[in-house]
Amino acid sequence: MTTLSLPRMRPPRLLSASAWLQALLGWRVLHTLAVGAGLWWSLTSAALEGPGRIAAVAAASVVLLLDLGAVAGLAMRRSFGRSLSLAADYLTFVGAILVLFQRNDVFRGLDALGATFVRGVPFGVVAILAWVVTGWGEQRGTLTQVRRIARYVAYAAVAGLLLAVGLLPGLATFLARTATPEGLLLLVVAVVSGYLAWRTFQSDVAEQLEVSNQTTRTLDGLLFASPNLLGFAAFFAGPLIFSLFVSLTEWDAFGDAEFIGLANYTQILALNVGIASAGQSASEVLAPGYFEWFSVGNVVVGAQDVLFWRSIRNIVVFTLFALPLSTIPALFLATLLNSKAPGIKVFRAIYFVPSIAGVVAVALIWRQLFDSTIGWLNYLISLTVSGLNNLPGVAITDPRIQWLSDADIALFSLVIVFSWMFIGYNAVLFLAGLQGVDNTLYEAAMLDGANRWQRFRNITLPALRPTTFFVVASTGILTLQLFGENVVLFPTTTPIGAGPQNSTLTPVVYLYEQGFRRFAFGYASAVAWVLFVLIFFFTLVQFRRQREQAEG
Amino acid sequence: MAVVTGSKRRRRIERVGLYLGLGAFGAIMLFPFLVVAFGSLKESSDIFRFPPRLLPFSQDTVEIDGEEQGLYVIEGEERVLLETIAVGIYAPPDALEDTVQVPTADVERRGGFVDTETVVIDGEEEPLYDVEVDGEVVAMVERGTTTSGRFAAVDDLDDVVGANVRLAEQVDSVAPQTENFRRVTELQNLDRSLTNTLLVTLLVVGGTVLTSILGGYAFARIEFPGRDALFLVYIGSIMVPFVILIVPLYQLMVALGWVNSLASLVFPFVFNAYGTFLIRQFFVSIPKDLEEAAVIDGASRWTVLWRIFVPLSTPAIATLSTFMFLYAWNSFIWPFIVISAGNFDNHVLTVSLQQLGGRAADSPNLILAGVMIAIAVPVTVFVLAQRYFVENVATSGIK
Repeated sequence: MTTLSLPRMRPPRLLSASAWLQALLGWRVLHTLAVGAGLWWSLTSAALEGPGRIAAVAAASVVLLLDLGAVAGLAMRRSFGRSLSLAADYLTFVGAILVLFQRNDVFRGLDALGATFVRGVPFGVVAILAWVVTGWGEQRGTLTQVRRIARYVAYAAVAGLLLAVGLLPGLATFLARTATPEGLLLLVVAVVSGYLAWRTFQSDVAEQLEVSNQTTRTLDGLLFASPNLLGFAAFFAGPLIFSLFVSLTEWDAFGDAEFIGLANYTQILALNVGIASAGQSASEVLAPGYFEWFSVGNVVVGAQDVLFWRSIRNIVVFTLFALPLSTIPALFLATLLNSKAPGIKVFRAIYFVPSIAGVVAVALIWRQLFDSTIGWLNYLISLTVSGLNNLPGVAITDPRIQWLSDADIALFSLVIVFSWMFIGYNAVLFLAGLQGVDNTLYEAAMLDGANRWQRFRNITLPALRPTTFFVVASTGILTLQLFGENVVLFPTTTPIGAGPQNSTLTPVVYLYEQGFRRFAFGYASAVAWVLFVLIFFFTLVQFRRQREQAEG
Repeated sequence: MAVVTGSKRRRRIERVGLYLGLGAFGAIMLFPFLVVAFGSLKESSDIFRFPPRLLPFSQDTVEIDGEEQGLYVIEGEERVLLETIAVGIYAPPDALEDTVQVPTADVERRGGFVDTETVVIDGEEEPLYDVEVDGEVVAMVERGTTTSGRFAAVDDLDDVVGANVRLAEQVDSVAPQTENFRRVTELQNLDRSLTNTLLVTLLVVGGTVLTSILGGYAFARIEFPGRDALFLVYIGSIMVPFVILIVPLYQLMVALGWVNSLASLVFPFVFNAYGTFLIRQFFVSIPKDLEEAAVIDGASRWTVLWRIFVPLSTPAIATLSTFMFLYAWNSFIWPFIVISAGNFDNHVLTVSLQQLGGRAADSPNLILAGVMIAIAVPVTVFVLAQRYFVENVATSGIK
């Protein structure tokens, strides 16, 4: 295996541990004042607005609290002072580096890398090959000469890769951008707090404060988990909370967010039922502001946001068809696959391929097959029909189905695409479950004379219950978020992906239309939360059903 | 003995049934891919042909006077098309079944072009034409048009026969049009999309593996108060559907200035709860005495992680890598939202293909070539790392 060379160059220890603690206290006070000033600035500055201000205030408050606690702890020479101080310095270090990178456009620099990246690919291939050779030699324990050469080749290839993709010009740009007062300040802050965190982390400082093993472990654990935790806060938890707030506002891309309470939700969900007597049109029996969603007999159901309810109807119909179609055949397929016959793995691989091809590719494939004049699907149907018509007494007209332009058919075309894509995947999931079933159960049942169906019904199905729950729940979560297939198959309808006469308008398609075509961010967020609740209840119902069955 | 042979035969029948079932299903799964694979090699006249053919055909040609001419079969003889003639199908108004075919150039409207005489047929006014039949000029109505062609023998250009061009059978042979792949990359900047996708995918895979190893180690091996609750909250984020994050994450990208940049496709996705979970589960299963020996030798946690845990965890890391590879390579909704349609330099394959599908509807052969490029990489990776793909599915099921 690769020997990951650890950093051997350690920063110098400038002070002894006790002197260091004194100095750290002084620094902490300075840091507290600086962060306090930063907090004040982020509260009052006109340069920040909206989510940027909230994020800055939140970050500054957290570090300020850590600082205050650390000052108190260090003054009392308690170990929590060191822990909090470490946290504050670590966060300052990470923050300063990220701000410096962001300011110097390091992250956006990926776009430039996209252009030069291809030049590095040959070097990358060489590096990987050399690395493989190194590992191969290590396993054999011989051929040290070959291994050494391979290692040098790998190093050279990595260096070549970095040079080929433009490391040097990139580095020069970075340095040039850093050489401004602001950039240098950030660099100094990063280096100083990095050194402080490292020095405070050393065991001699810990011994001075008689830090317990458990505290050391906690610090270690949080340090290792910190990339995940910071990423979780920045790209998941923060946005999630922000989304909840946005859904309570009226906000388009150009104006400020205006708090309107639950108004978005009431508009989305509002329904009104009226009874039409003879000769009355639907709009006459509904309350003002409501439009006809559907009517059964003379009962008219109206909604304020008809398009949203249309999308709900579509997605429910879609799920009712796509969910059984992509799970039940998968279960039978899995029972076929659960055999030791030769060549079975080839079939398993073939069934799996549609799910790895990706939504866009799969939808484009099916668009070709669905073509109503030259597509294979209609051609095969025609062949079948004319074949059947040769039989005596049969006269079927060729349906010539308009798969993608008939409003009654389009949603079912999507069902076909989705099911085709996920049957094989689900079959492999079921297969994993089947292989966990205890074989002795079958043997016992066969001795009792149970036939194939009885064995399937009474042994396989109950044993597969957890797998079934997982398959149904995860497939349902996918169907309820249907989006990609629509956009690829109906790229020209308005809203994009809504299909003929909105017949394939799904909640996510509607969300996209509201959020990114009309820029009604508040409204789109509310739609997202309603959909989330729907998905959550779907999963919950599945889970309850599985548990009840397991108990009963 | 009879019982044994009976069960043997039964088993053989069962096996045939098994393969029939598996094969039928395999055909359903495989056939669309065959259509795409061969379709991507077709020329445009072939892909619009009805009835469709699976293999890519193109018309054979023969060189005549320095020019390539398409070959046809007329009454069993190979011929080339010299010229096409527009032919009208005419019939007398009182005997509509008695049609004759005459080139439209030889026919004139009765009474001239302005004051054409007309006759009413089935309630519709139809113009009358002067058509010469057997030396006699007869007034007729036009029932339709067709295209006739003068076909000459390949070796003797004076040997000419007339035949209907639409019904003439072309001499076709299998000819894959490999330049479709080059043409499609020029059409939509697809070569740049391909390298962008590769870059984004590699970064997402590498980043996720790195953070997952660090996080997985913390959650598996370092005991500290509140760890399990923290883990549960983190894992809970798997249950939250991505759609709920679309709007706020887009706002975050706006605030950071990452809209339209590849950065928006990479950094939000390298912190992955599922990956951390996967690696943690594997680390938990590694026996403790392995690391204790190293710790007694004075190794730090960092060393233990990279020298002991990571080398032992190649299966888990491979599984995670394949999972993230597929996820990043095929992700569509987020790139579709965050990279604007006109920004060709920062497109990824899925977005390019979607746009190609919307724009180049008149050249499905090129779209299919694009599809082939897009699926070639994941399918290759799948063939090479099938074990880990399937393992990945199995572990997600156990969860």
